Amino acid sequence: MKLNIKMSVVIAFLLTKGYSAFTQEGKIDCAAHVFKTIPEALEYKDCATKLSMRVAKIERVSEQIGNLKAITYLDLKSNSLRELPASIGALSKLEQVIISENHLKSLPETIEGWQSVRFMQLDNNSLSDLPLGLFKLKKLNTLDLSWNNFASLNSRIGSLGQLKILDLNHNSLLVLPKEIGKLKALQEMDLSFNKLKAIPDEVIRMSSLKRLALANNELEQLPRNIGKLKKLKSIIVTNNKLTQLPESISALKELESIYLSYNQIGKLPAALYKMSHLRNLVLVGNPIPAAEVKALKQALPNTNIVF
Amino acid sequence: MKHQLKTKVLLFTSAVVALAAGMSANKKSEIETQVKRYYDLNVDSLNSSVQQMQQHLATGAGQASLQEDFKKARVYYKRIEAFVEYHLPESALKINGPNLVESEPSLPEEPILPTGFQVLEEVVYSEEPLDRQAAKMETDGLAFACNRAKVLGANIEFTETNILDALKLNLYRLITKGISGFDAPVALNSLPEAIASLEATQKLFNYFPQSGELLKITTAALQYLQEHQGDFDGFDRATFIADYINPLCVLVYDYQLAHKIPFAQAPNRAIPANIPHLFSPGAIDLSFYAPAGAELNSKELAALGKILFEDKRLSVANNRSCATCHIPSKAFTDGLALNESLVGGKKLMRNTPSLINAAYQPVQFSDSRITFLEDQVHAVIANPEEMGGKFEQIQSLLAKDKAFMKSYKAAFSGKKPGADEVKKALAAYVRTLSGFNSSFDRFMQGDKTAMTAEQLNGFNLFMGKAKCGTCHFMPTFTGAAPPYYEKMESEVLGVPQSNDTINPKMDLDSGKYHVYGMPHHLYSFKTATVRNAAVTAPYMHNGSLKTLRELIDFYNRGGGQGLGFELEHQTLPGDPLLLTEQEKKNIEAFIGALTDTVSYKKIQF
Ligand code: HEC
Ligand code: HEC
Repeated sequence: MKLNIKMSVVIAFLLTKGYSAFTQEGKIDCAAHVFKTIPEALEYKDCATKLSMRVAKIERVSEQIGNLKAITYLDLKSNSLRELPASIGALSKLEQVIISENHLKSLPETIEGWQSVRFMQLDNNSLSDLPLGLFKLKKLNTLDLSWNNFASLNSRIGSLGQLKILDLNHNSLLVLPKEIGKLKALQEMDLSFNKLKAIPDEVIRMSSLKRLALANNELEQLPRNIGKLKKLKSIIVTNNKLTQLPESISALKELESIYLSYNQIGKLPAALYKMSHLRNLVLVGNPIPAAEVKALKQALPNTNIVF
Repeated sequence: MKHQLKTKVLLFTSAVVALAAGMSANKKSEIETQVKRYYDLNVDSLNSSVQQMQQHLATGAGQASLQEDFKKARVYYKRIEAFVEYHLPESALKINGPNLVESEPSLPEEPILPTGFQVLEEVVYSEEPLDRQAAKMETDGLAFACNRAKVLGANIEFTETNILDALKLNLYRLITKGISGFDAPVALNSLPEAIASLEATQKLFNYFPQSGELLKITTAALQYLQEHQGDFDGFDRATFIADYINPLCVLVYDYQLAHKIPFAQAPNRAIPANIPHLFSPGAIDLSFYAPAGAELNSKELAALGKILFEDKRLSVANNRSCATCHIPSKAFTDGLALNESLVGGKKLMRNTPSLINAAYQPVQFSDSRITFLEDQVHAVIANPEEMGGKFEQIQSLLAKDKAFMKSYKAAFSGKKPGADEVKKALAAYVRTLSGFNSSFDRFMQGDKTAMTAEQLNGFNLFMGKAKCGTCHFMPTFTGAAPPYYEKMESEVLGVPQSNDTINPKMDLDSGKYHVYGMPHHLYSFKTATVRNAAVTAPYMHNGSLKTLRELIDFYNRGGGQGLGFELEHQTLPGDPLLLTEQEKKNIEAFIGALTDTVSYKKIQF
């Protein structure tokens, strides 16, 4: 009798711990199944690949997560996390990480272990700094750091040679390190809603750049040699303090759209009149004489000019 | 029949096997099991006491009976506070967060209303007739949050390491916030609550073997509290901390060493787990406030920073260095209300703060607009009103200076100084400017002769009747909130434009509002340090108050509201403090015990 009570306690204990011998009913396809909790995934710890605890109200991630070595997809979006456990760095197969909308103030240095990671979404947290380990993630191609508290970026950002998309909109950036120019694979860079007064000239080395968003900063000029960014398709500089555009802009043969609303541009460069490949040119809120706009419209009949 | 038996046996053996495997993989000690049970029991009690309050409210109970319910529920919370705060910080905020509006940066205009005990307290203890509607809403909110602590609490993984870590942090919470009335500002039930909290600590220590020493001093601390719990104003906090709680913390530290219980690894914490007590020398880990990769121990870097700090070539007209405003002999202030702007013959917007201990703050500037010193340096040099320097120009000037380049080469491997390097060096220098060896620090480290009787009384007032300690948290005496010291509080005091108390006018600097556009930040400023205040007059972000006496009088009146300003969202309580002449003198004397303008000079580089 005594033994029996003990037994049921043992069994109850094991059940709550989720031991597979008791709870495994049907077979789960590890490659497809999205696990919702860590204990659930731990039952399949050698094969569970996807873990999503999106909007799960969690405030802390168990150190146990480090045992889920096969995870490739991790979604912790919209919780109340302030930190991540160091063991999370053991997930060396991780490819996609989504930790948007939490309260993270920092990331553990151990994320250096995420050597397979390609995609990281960390928007809407309270980050002001990145661990050095992050700059060693050689496969990283998308990094979303928008809506955080960055005032500066570590110059090691330049070592993320595979990066294609870098989103830093809505931070408090005052400056960019010149090393950012080393991001040769970068195709999209969003720096809107920061406090940038200038863009380092080195930016012109980002030879893959297609989209450059700089809206709502305090920029007084664009890099003089911006014409070197041959792949550029769109430039968004709405709400800055530009007074002119660099002449070299006319060298941008792929350029489709320029958004210049709410700057202090009084005169447009002559070369602009020859950019017949432009699709959109938005000039609202600049002190440009009406006659000049009219002339421009005549010169560029196929361009949608908004003034 | 037979078949069934067989399954049972099979079940039995596999259970034992699984159990054995489980045990070895995840060994639960007796202590951990007991603590878990303790948590479960008390979180249940917390929930039922809040439910009881809901019931009483529904059946028309009066204010006095609700106040009793309120006190009871808080006592249950105090029993598990250490763990809720440690493992469920968001729930802790919802259960016992400050009664302050917040917002998310993404939705600055959207207020997140506070919930929990502190909001409920204002309703239940209101001097107006009880607002039943509000009481119901707040009690429901509290019930929801407490239930969350129960549901999420079921997943807490207790270990001996994190149990002791949580308890120690809770002792820090007790001495910095608990006994100052921080989280029970209206009910003033702080000392009885401190008893509940320490009793819980005692019970939990009891689960640890050979914890006799810990229990002994906890019992003594409890006895001390019990004897004095009725006298909030007169409670001798200095003695309580120095004679009981600090030694208790040291014993926990020793216990962990003796019993080989590893200290919690907390690389992202300002106060590491492996220090004896909160006032131990070097208790605050400076690297917590520095960006990743910052060099904290490079003498060459700091030496270069010192040279740059005094170098006028950093400014546009070569006539201003950092030391022009942050004068070393004036504790790195300038003694002026406002210094001169370089632009248009104006004054600067803000008073020059001391740089001693500036590195120990999670944010810089009185509107908290910057996190790291490196970025602060950029902001000052590039600011046309302050220095107006252009980094390209500075670099080429410095590169031509042979003496400078010698120091530069000692710190960096580059050919000529880059903007990044200038910032790093200056930040490294500012990080050497620490002052944590004041009379107060020495007292807390055990030198009972370090403070005079007036200073000790002043400390007790500071931490009690005068409420200063509810905003200026020990040991930095800034708004960096214990026990993690990662979030800097800003407050609305209603600072006047000048020290004119006959025709006072409110200062119209919008403060932190200017940075984030959140309405509740209007006129709020970073809670600046009180350390060295005796030598850094004049005071406040605008330098409007000329002496410590004027400052204490300002608080004594109830801040801006006391001066007659209509400032609805002032976060400083608007009631007069009713300090006597002697009490004001003693507070001033205590502030004098926070002076240390010499320690930094002893750092060799
Ligand atoms: C013209 C006078 C002036 C000069 C020159 C100056 N500062 Fe300041 N400093 C100030 C004022 C005023 C503030 C407060 C600004 C505010 O809070 O908005 C300040 C704030 C700071 C702070 C933040 C302290 C805190 O507690 O928030 C630091 C750090 C600092 N200065 C360092 C420096 C360094 C390093 C230099 C040289 C590169 C420098 N300052 C040059 C006037 C000056
Ligand atoms: C409601 C929170 C709050 C309380 C209570 C409070 N302070 Fe302050 N204290 C602040 C804030 C915020 C500032 C910065 C104000 C500014 O810059 O305008 C400040 C500034 C100070 C300074 C000036 C620092 C400087 O160098 O300019 C001193 C000294 C000071 N407080 C002492 C006290 C004393 C003594 C008490 C108790 C009588 C007290 N404080 C109570 C929030 C508070």
